[in-house]
Amino acid sequence: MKRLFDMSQYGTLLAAGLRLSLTGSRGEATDQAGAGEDGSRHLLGAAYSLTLSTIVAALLFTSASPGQFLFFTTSLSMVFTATAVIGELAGGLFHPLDLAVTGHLPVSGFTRFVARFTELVAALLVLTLNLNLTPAILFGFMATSASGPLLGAAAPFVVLAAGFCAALFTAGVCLVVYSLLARVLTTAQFQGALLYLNIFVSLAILGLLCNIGRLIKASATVTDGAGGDQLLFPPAWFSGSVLALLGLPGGTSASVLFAAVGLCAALLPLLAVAVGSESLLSALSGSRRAARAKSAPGTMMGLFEKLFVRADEKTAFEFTAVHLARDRGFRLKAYPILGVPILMMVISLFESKDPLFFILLLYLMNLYLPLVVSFLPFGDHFRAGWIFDALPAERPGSFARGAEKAFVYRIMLPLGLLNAVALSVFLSPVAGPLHALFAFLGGLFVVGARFRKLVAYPFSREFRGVVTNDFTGVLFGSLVIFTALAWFQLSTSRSLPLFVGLIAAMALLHKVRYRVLSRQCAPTVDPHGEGR
Amino acid sequence: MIIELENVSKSYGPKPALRGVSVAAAPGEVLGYLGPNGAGKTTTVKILSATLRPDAGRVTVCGLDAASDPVGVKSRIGYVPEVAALYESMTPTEYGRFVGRLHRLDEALLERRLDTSLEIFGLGPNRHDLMATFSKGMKQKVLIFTALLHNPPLVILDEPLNGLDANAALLLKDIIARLAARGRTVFYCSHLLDVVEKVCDRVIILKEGRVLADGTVDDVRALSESGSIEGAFSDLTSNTDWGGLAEEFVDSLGDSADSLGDSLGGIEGRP
Repeated sequence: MKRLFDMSQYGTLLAAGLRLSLTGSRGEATDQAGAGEDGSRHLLGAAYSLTLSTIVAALLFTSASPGQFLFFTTSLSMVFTATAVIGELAGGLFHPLDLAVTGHLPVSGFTRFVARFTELVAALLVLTLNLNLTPAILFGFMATSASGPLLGAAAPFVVLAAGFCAALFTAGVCLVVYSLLARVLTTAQFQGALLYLNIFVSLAILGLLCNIGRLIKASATVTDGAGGDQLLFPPAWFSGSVLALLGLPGGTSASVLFAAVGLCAALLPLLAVAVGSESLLSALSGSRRAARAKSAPGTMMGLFEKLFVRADEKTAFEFTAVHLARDRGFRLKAYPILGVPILMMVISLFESKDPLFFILLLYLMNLYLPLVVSFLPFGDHFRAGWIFDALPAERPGSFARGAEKAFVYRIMLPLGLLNAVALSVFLSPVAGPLHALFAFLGGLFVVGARFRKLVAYPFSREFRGVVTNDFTGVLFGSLVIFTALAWFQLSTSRSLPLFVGLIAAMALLHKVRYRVLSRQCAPTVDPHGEGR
Repeated sequence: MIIELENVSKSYGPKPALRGVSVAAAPGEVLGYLGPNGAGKTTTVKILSATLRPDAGRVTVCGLDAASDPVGVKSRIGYVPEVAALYESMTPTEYGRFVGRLHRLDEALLERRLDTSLEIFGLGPNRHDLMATFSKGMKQKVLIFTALLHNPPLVILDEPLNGLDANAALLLKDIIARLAARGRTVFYCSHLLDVVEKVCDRVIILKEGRVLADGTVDDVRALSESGSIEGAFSDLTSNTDWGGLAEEFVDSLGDSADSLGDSLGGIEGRP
């Protein structure tokens, strides 16, 4: 008779699953052609979430009430859990190739489901500990001073338990969204949606950190437990429950009720998703429909190519432009970095009208550009970089120039246009765009210098971290150059003809620079390919 | 000669991969390069394609010295590696353009060859699809036609039939024969001995970095009592009774015909 649940098979599946998930090699095990991940990246991720939760908790510890402290740390924990569940946990646990690996083995669907569900719960436990350990300890001190040592000693455990419930709630909601998206979108669209969600969350966290003071003031109605606002914010259900259980101000029995109902409401679909995971896996496998790309470069890209790209730079330009737009790993690393200064600009635009302030913001954005260039040699499909060894790439110098122009087209130009529009609105319709153009041309000097220092072809290496000592030099040099440029910009912008003349001179200087470079070969790439 | 390897040696640390290997191939020759795992086939291919420097010896391709003119050598080679990844964020058209332009092909000629290749290899309808959505066989087709876009005098194929369906494999075998008829040299590495026997004019058998046999297909067949390349390969590289080993393995699974009867009622060995 067919068994519904086999304990021995469950143990084997769980042990293998936990080992693969904890070492971060699940992708490699299931997808031979995939890029795979190494365990160190998972450890780094854990260290990152622990550090960030510690920083936020330390910031709040001295300035917020116990209710506000718990509300914000729980919010952060839930946001992180959401990104982890959607980005990695679900991607690993519900990898379509799991079905290909274990689907043909004589294991019942129920055994597979229980193993997968246990694995998810274990992963959430680890995540909860990472994100809530420091806040729980610090909250223990807060509770001790408010209610005495007994409750203070119990408080960290209550916070961790509530954190775990919040993680289960978040996972439940996210997995429902995940399964719905997986059924509606193609694989490429689905991965794109997850990518932008990750970038959005990274920026939201940065926004939260930048505005924590203002948010604390604004959150009074949510965290004091008096108004009905608590109902609208799920983190308040769980933070309010802790306060209610410990008898601290701000907690009401309503919080406990919301938390319990919310958890059940999320767990039921979570169970349903897990039970239906076989069909979800099949749906994900089946959704690998062909994703089509444009047959030729778009009008804008074609125009840029005609105006600025030489024939010998065309290959590198198109190759790099395509990957800047499509390489998921690059976008995931680069876009949040660029988002930081953009976010700061957006926040600050409403607070200052001083030209000096705007110019500093422009150069802050420029400072991030060399860091983004440093990510260029790394890509998701780095294994395909063998082609650079095998092909007769006689003039790697022209490849670097083409790649630089693609970077200008894809990254710098949109940023420059954004700056020009923002400054024309908030500063002046004439001076604003001119300031943006000046900063753009200034940034081009440093970006060009950074491109000369790249030792590999774009998207041809596995990401193992940016070489920081190399980068420190560029950053220091950039700071000196940008300080000088900002001073020039500020002092010359008072006279419009002088300012326009200086901009024209800078543009001319770039033209000369490209002409000189086009006669040189970058010596950094070995023609035998062994230096790649 | 299109290929000339003279006393080439290469070591990875203390472990020698090639020990004084000498190989030559003339225009129009299809050379089968065989050897068990770890024999040094891939090292030879890398040295031949100027992506790896030998420790000793001389390598000449189309009259060019691989040490002093690696770029010139690379431009005369079409290379399909055994395990090769593709930039899957690109379409086959974009990837073909990328490879062709680095070979400095004229744009019009490149587009024409690209169109023809995509159609002939059955990828016409997928020309604008991202390669991330391709099957293994489709990716192998892309690797093969992009290696031939510049019509090189030397084609190096390392297990080129990997993932190809029967029709695509037939097409590739015919392409190899016709390339050879037009004076192109094909350096063919494979573990599929029956394919090598059909496709190649000459066979080299390598073991532990040394050439054990080098001759026409008939010459190498004659080295074995069975009169086949498979027999010669086995005699030269292992001297193992494979039939006996296979019998021993199947025996270890259960007792002869009884296990078939068991499997109808339940699987042997399960509680």
